[in-house]
Amino acid sequence: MNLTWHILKKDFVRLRLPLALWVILMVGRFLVGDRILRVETNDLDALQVTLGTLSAMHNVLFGLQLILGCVLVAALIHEDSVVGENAWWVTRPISGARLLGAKLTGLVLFFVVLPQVVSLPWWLYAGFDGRAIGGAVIQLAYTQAALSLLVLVVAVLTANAARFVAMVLLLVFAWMCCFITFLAHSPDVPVGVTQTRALAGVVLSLAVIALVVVQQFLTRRRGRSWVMFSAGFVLMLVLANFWPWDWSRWALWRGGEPPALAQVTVAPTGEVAFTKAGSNLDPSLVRMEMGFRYTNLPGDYSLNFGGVTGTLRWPDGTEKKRTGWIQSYPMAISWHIMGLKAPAGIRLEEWQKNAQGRGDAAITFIPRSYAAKLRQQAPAWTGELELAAYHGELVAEVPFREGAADGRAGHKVHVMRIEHLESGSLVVNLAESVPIPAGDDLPIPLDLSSRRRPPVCYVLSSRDRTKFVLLRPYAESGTLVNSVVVLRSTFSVNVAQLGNPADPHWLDQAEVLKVAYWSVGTLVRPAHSDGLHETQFRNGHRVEPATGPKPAPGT
Amino acid sequence: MNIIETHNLTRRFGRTEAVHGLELAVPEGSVFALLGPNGAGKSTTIKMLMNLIAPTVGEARVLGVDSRQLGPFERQQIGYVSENQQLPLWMSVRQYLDYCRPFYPAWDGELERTLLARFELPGDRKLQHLSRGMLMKAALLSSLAYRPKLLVLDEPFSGLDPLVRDEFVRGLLEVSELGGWTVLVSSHNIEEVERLCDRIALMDEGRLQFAESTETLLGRFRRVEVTLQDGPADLASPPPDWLELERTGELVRFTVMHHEPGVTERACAQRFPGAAVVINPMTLRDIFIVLARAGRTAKKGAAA
Repeated sequence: MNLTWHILKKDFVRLRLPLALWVILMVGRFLVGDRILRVETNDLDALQVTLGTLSAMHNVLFGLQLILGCVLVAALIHEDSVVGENAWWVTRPISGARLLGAKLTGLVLFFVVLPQVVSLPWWLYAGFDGRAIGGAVIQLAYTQAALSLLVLVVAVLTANAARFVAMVLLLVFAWMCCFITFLAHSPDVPVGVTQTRALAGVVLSLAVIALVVVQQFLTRRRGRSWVMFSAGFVLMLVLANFWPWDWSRWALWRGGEPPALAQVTVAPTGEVAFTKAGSNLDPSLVRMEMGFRYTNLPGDYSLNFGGVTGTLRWPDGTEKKRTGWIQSYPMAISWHIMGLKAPAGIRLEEWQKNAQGRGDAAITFIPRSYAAKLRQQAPAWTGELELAAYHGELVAEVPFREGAADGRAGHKVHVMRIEHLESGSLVVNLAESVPIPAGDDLPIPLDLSSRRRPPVCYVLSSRDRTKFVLLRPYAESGTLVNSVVVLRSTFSVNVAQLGNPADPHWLDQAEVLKVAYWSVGTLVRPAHSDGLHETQFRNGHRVEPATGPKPAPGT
Repeated sequence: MNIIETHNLTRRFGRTEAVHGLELAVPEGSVFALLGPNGAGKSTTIKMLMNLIAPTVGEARVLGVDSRQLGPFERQQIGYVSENQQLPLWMSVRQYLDYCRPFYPAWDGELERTLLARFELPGDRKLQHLSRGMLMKAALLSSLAYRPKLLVLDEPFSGLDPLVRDEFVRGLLEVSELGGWTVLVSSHNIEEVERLCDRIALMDEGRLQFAESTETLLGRFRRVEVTLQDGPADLASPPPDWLELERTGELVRFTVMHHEPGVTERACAQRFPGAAVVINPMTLRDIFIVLARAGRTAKKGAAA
């Protein structure tokens, strides 16, 4: 172990200057992130320009840090090259296993632990609590480890920097070809199969990387390593295109079904709308939306986006099996609202009276001929819906005045500016730092929606929660700085919406509420409709359908 | 006891056979030179011995262990210096020695200081700022300070100017007095090898031509000059160990491969009665050149 540390110490001495530069670039990003949070201006248009410049500056620093990070990983390996016959260490009493141990320890210390240590003050400054820091640690470790592993496998197969760069370019090209092939799958492939293919690809990649790295360090037989690498690459291409089974339910974390949602039912409304003539993927397909409604949903939970699989059955025995996804309509009765009631104490009664528009809908594509057939004969539909469940949590309760700030669960919201326009509208600018949970923005093509950054909802509410309005940003500038999203959002509020002639000063006592929706699991429900019929919507409201058969849309 | 043994050691690169069926034995305690022109297969042989490349066929045993199984324990007893070795040039001489030291339990600090002084190496200078000769000395120092049983030098004189080469050889000679190690040196610089080695092997086109002690080799090769004095001269079908037989006027010159005092003189007297015969010893360089020329002539003959 002492000798392993001895090698590691040598590598640290060798790389100390570029490592210091790497850390400086990281700290530079923190400074830019802080500037994004603090920049003030009276002109909101100018603010957007400044934020754009700062964001670009951050991205340049991030790009440089990324490139330098790759160079550092490669340099760490090339310092004691495992390719060729002239490396110094090979003729010394250093085994391949010991060298591998030293290099892996170096990778972990320099590129996983060091960024965490450097980022800790930044996370604390951003207002992260223990949970947020935990998530940030895992998130940063993921990203750094993934990047280091990808660079590692190229570095162990190359002898020097020039060959490393050439090989990276070659692999990027090969990967792009592979990715295009991967994307070119038929829309008929179920989402679960696509997810399983992606996951299998990732698992296989990790296995191949581990195998190639270990074999190259232990035997230095590059020909054999290349054969393994190439075989893994080809196998990944085959998997990405031909893997037939859906193992996503077992392989991907979805969190199961929360007990609080056991009574929730999902039922099709029987309404079908054709919202778009044709599909970009295949113009012979027609986009079809089937309405659904939920019941017994607790006030602090929301359901959103998921997959749908079902079969259309016509009385004449014709069947069509389709897969698709679920979407919410319209934002005025946004799914957010459902989860607001309990955490924010919002009184939804008035809102619910007006919630007469379209509910959630399952989107799928069907052939044009089937759309025409549906208009003539109502088919039955039987299928299964899969919905992501979220639990709403109030993460900020900020007094509605400039300079006020509040936050919890790692979120920090700062009211930067409130501007009263001549038109009578209000413009509000917020500066926020937001944590991202572990698993967000993974550099792999996986739909881990349940682990993504929690969706949030902003509400301007009176203190007694009797009056409120949903705030929707019309300008937003977000930058991810080492697991902290630094965000500047500008909202416009029509004061007339807030009107209460009896209490014209209620805004003086108002608060900006921010609710985060934490992913808590997945709901799977069977559903059935005896007959689907076409319904017309205009501006989100149902209109009476025209009588008599009509041609299929787009014809 | 042999510290290195090879049996049918062969290495092919595609269709090219760099080393062919090499049978070699390096006795313990010897200073053994592997000689041969460029491309003879010397470095390939050494790389196989050091497990830097794998043999295609055959095996090599170094310190009694299959070369493919050489581990840290055996490496602690082997010193290796090569012109092609990538040293950590960013280190100073002192840093380099400090880095090497912990890998060798038998590292002799006193010997390190002695060699550092004897080689006149500046401890605080980076390896990349050393001259080539100094760099080779630093590499040699780091391979000697733990008193290895076997020291392998692969083309150590290559690229060194005569002065530095001389310094390096002197350094080697000095340290050879300090320890009882076995040295295997590959080179095409014959003069330096002659000063250093007590056993010599010659390789050409991947094949071993001979391997014997320097003393025997220098003893059996002789340059013969015969001055004919109107007597008969039988130049037809000379003995096979007479190489490069040529006549210029009254002067006949040739090299005897297996000289024995009295025997060569008698053979000359039979073929050149009454002629004056002068038999001169040869340098290793002369022997090397004669053998190289003879090899080429034989190849041309075979091709014709």
